[in-house]
Amino acid sequence: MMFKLWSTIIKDIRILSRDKVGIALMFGMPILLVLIVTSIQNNTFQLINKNKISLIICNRDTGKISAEFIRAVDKIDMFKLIRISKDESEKMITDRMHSKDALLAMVIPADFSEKIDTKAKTVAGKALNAFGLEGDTINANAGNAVPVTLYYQPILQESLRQSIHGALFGALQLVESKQILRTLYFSPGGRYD
Amino acid sequence: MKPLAVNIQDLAFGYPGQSSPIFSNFNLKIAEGERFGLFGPNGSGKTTLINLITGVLSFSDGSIKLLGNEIKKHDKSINKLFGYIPQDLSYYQELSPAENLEFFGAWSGLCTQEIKTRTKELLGILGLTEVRNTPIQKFSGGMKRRVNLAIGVIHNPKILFLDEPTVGVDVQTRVAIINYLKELNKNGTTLIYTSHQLNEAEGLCDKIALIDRGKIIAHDDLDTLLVKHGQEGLEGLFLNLTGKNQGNP
Repeated sequence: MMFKLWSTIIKDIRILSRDKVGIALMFGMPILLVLIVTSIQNNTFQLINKNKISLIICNRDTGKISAEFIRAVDKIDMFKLIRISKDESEKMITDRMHSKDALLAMVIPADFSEKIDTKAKTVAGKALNAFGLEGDTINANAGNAVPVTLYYQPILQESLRQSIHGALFGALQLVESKQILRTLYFSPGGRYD
Repeated sequence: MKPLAVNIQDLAFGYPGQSSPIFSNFNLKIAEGERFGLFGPNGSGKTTLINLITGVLSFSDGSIKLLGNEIKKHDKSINKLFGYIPQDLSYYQELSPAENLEFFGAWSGLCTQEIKTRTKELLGILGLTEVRNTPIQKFSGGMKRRVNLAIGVIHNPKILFLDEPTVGVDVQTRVAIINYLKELNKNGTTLIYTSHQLNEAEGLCDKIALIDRGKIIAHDDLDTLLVKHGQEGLEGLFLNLTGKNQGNP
């Protein structure tokens, strides 16, 4: 049986080695396919990167955390940020969106930094209590909701809205995590030393 | 009485979807060492019968024995008993005759040494030694036929089925092939031959069967049949038994 198998392998290698078109198809076509697919994917990637989504940001908060959040959103590289004055009303923001200045708007409320800070303290307090250490007073209801207001252009597809929401939520979580760590290690009562 | 090379008893076979079977209660006996010719008009069932005997087609009713071995048992050792040279050329044309014989020899159960010996012997007999390493696709029609023959007999079969082995070749090649087949028969190989070239068949076959619509209409020594039906040649006998006007517009 092994001899038959060996003979078949030898036979096929001989046939293949003499079939230049076959060899070209066997090795050339996959390489060509890789080049084509890579090229298409690269074009798509460039298209996505070049065409960033315009995002109006109205930051009514004066704290450091909101500034950090905006930097985190900028780093996502998915949005073209348009910063507007904190005094602009919601009506003015929606008007801007209707005039096609942006597809998306985000209003950071005045108490954003405070909410994030409170939430961080709550989580840090829970963590310290779990380790038998004393933390700040726990406010169980603090900061569960997303503390920003988002406005979408109606033309945005649901799938894209989900992606945008996910990206912004990711940036928010990053900021929250940093704040929790700061609270755990550097805040009075939460220092671990 | 000579032992039987092929013994077909009560064979029944029909292709799926056909209203009536091709063979029904079909019986045929071919003795060892015969040069047996199987003839009949197109669609008479010759190729189907050879495919049934060689196991290419399977059947449910009846029995076919090759040298006493029932082929229904699908015993692989039976395959070594016979060789089959089909009408269509069956080899790898990118490979040389030696490489083809090496491959088919291995699949016929020969060892490396046997393959080398048989390859040298066959290429010499069939006049292919000089082109032993040339790809077959560069060969003429006659040379291709000779390679086809060499592949069919590489394992020294006891029974050799030949389906139009000389179709499309020149006279020299045809004579060379027929002479080689006679040589094989002298050494004990039973030949079972089918062709439409009746003049060639007359020179090769000592026993014939005429088959029409799945029935044997004549089966005897060639000379006996010619005398019995008052014919001088196989062509006249063929027309006489299968109907002179058949195929005429």
